[in-house]
Amino acid sequence: MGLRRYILRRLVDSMVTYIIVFFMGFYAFFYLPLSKIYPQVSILQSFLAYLKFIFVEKFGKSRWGIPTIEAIEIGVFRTLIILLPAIVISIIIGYIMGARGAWKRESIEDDVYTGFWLFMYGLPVFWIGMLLLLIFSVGLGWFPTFGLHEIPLRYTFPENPAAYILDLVKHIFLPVLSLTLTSTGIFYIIMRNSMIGILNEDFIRTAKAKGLSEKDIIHKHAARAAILPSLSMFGLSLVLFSTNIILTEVLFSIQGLGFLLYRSATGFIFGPDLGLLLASFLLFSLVVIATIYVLDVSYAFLDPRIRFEGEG
Amino acid sequence: METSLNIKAFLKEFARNGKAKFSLIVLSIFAFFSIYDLIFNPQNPYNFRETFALPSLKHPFGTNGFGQDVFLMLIKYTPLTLLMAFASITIALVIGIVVGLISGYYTGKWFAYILDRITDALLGIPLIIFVGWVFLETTPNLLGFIGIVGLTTWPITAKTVKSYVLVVKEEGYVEATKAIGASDRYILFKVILPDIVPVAIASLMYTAALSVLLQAGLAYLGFKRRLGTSEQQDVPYIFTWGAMLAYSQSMGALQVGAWWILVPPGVCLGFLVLAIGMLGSAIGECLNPQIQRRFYALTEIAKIGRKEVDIEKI
Repeated sequence: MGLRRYILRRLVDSMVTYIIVFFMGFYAFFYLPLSKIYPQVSILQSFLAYLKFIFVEKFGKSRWGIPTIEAIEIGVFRTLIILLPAIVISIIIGYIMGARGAWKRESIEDDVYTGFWLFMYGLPVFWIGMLLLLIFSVGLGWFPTFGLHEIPLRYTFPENPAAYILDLVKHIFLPVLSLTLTSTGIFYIIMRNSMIGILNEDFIRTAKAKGLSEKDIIHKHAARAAILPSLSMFGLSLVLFSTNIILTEVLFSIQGLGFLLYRSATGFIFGPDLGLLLASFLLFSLVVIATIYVLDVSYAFLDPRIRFEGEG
Repeated sequence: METSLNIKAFLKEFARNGKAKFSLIVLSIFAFFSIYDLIFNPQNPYNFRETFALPSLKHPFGTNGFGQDVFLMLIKYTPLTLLMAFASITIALVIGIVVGLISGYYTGKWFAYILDRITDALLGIPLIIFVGWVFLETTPNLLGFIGIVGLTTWPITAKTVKSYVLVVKEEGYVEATKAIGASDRYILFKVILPDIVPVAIASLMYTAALSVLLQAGLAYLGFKRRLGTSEQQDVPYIFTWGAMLAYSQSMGALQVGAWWILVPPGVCLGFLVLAIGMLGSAIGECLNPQIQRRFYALTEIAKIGRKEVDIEKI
């Protein structure tokens, strides 16, 4: 199968997946509540109303009186501010330690790493967040307990950039740390396993025979080859991650997409905000599915085996 | 191929396995807690003379804001946590194996394609909000909670099983069974299934983490309010360690700095996930002698993506 056909087919797959998500959103957040209020409405009628609500009314207005789309925009930005650092740091730590663990496999060092990261993976992220808050905010008073900024967040360039960035870093430190601690485990496992497969291959034996140092073999030969196959596992690793983002945002009161989802689902005083809930649900899923698609395709793009097999 | 299980050999192997020992010790402590609670039903009254007391001999884990003993609370919250974890994981495992078998064996058929896409969709949505919402809207009771968590946490198992079915169905013995005219159902359930079950059980860690943490997270978020409908209905307060954490936070444990209330339930949740994962891994290793390397089974999931891509490419 050619590379272009693979990319196209994965695109169709992702679109079908998103259509299923679209129906899930309809059933859970539109049909279920609607059928409680109007039991006589048929599923087809409510589906038409659903389409109209999304494409004509553009999700209506949110509880704050502004259009839902506008309320969501700022949420995406805030989510990305904690999501991207967390994911980058956990990938880096997971990959470095995974390479190390695989090199020392079946030693005490490897068992300690694996046991530690698996244990961290099984801990609730909000609990880790609470303990970090207890230690660093309540006890030591180093970091603020909630929110994203004392200085208002704007798209325009701030007047005092240094103070602005310092303020932001102080606020995102604890959320990013708790997300990193719980999600490094999966990247560690993926990298370690991928690395073990690579270390058995001939070119590593050649490198060892050439008398290269351990560091050079790990970083210049093995790790580079091992990162590639582990990319395709990224999709599965996002399952718990998306749940963790929502919980982190709620704990630290960061008003991103996850917080919007939670607030619009449970409601403040007035009950759930269905437009906001639907919009953030659909957007959140779109971001995750698109990310998985891009990673899948970039994996196929980077892996020479796939290209040659496709041409041959 | 030997499909009948040699129980004696299995138990012998199991008793020697280090991971099995670890998980059995942890799980039997939790089981002891549950049995103690169910038989003696210890009372844990409010005591406003001793609020937020530090751990001492009288109260091994201290007391909370109402002067209740934290250790007794932990015991009281154990049975439901265990029940819900095991019940929903079992449901997820069964569904995951069936879906993985079908979508792996019938690759290319339309229903296998749809099953794959549903698996992907469940991996893409913000699961915790979806589960909480559907739970409140349809069946706000304990059984409904277990059922919905079980019905939505199977994708990882399904993907693992599928990638193995893709490999196994090309093997000689499956081809041979097909050649002598066995039906698809016979091949699926009598030939492939016994090979797949150990693998599925061995990669239980991820489903266990997802399932247990989803339940804890839902308890923490507290999907209590049922609005948007005309009727208001009380959702039962579910006594799990996740709910205990939420309860501690709303009581002001964070503001007071009462770490002794927060630490026990979180550590117990972590050990529960690890113990279930290790138990699965140990059972998988003992059922299938090919899974023998240390931590091999726990890390098995990392190969899925690669296998699937390679096979579909060729």
